[in-house]
Amino acid sequence: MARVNLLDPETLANPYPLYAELRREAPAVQVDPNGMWAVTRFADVVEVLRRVDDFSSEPADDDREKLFENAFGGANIIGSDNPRHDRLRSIMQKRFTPRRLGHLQGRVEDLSRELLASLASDGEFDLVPTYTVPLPVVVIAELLGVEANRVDDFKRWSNALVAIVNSAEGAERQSALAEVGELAKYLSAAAERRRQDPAEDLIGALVAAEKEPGRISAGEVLSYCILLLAAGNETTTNLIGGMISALIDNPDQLALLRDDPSLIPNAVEEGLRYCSPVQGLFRRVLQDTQLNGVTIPAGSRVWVCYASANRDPERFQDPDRFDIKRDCRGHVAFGWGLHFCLGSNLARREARVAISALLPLLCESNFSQAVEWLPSWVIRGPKALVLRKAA
Amino acid sequence: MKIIVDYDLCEANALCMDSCPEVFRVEEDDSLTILMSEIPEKLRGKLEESVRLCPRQALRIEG
Repeated sequence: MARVNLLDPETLANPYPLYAELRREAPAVQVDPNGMWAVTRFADVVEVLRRVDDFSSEPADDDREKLFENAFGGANIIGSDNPRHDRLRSIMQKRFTPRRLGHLQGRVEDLSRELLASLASDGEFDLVPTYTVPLPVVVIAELLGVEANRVDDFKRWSNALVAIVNSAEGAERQSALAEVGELAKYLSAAAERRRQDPAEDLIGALVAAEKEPGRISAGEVLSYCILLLAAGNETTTNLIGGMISALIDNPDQLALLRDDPSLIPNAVEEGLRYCSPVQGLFRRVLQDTQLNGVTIPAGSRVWVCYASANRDPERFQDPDRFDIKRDCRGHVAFGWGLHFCLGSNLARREARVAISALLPLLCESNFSQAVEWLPSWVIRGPKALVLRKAA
Repeated sequence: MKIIVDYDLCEANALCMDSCPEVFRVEEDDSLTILMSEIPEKLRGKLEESVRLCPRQALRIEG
């Protein structure tokens, strides 16, 4: 097949047909932007994620992620191989376990209810600015220990980070870099306050670790805060939004959920599989590397496409069907292995509560939806999700 | 048959306990306890499922 570009508008609107073609083609296929090698089959994706010594997570000097590292003065866990990855991850490891997050349940429920109570009641509303954005932003801001009332700033900053990862060029890139600079300044100040006045929140835990020799540098603290803030909202927003959209598209599945809300946890797993809010992440090969018969040349960037793996018919039967009762365990929406999403249990908890709280409203009337998807090949979710009551 | 846990990787996601509660117990403090040092052959299927589903790939079967 001719070399494809993931930034083509048609593909951005719906990348799944292209993923299917790439899966049929080969274990790894060179695509644009940047001539990356796309890995799209489930088995190959899992293999790449397992082979951490062959497929490095550390960005090269000309990768965009390297910009962040240089600007913040330290790497984050996504862009680290071992031993650095474990050194940094272990600081936060026990903060995101299912049990540890249990105390958040009531807070997330209250927040969902408050947000829904202020929805316009005229039968037409966009759930993105009113619900799917503020819910995760407020939760992660409170966990970090920053001012939750700056939701709009956090969202703007997080959009800027995504724009850069998303290959923004020219003026867009310049303005995104300026936004990111503002974010770094804000979080540096928050960390500095914690150094003077210790606290139990996540930023407090990071600066407390600075006291152990060789554990974490000030630049790494800043990088960590930015990652937690951005990853903690963007992805969950898109999971919740993507799931709502899928439920409106599939009234039979919505009815199943209405009749048996105990299906919500599995529906969230299926939402993760079906929506894959992080469509994929990057690796790099430092030498010529074999992947099931394909040679990926030294220095290549590899696009590990979770979203495609999650729609691979070799792994999931009838993969393009949204089926909240299917056994979808083993999906790779959170990655797999060493770099498995640190915040997976937080995302799950928030999505379960968000869907559960919204369910009565969704079932109250027949809604039609108008969805505008984010113009990104890395992060997928509704940028606007307008629901209208059918007349 | 034995199960080997890499405790540096384990993050108490508890999928192993869901698949095979006979062998795995995630404690109140998020530590993982292995309930049998020698695991009977009849649990091999469940154990393999635990290994497969552990998102951090922290488990390995020996024997």
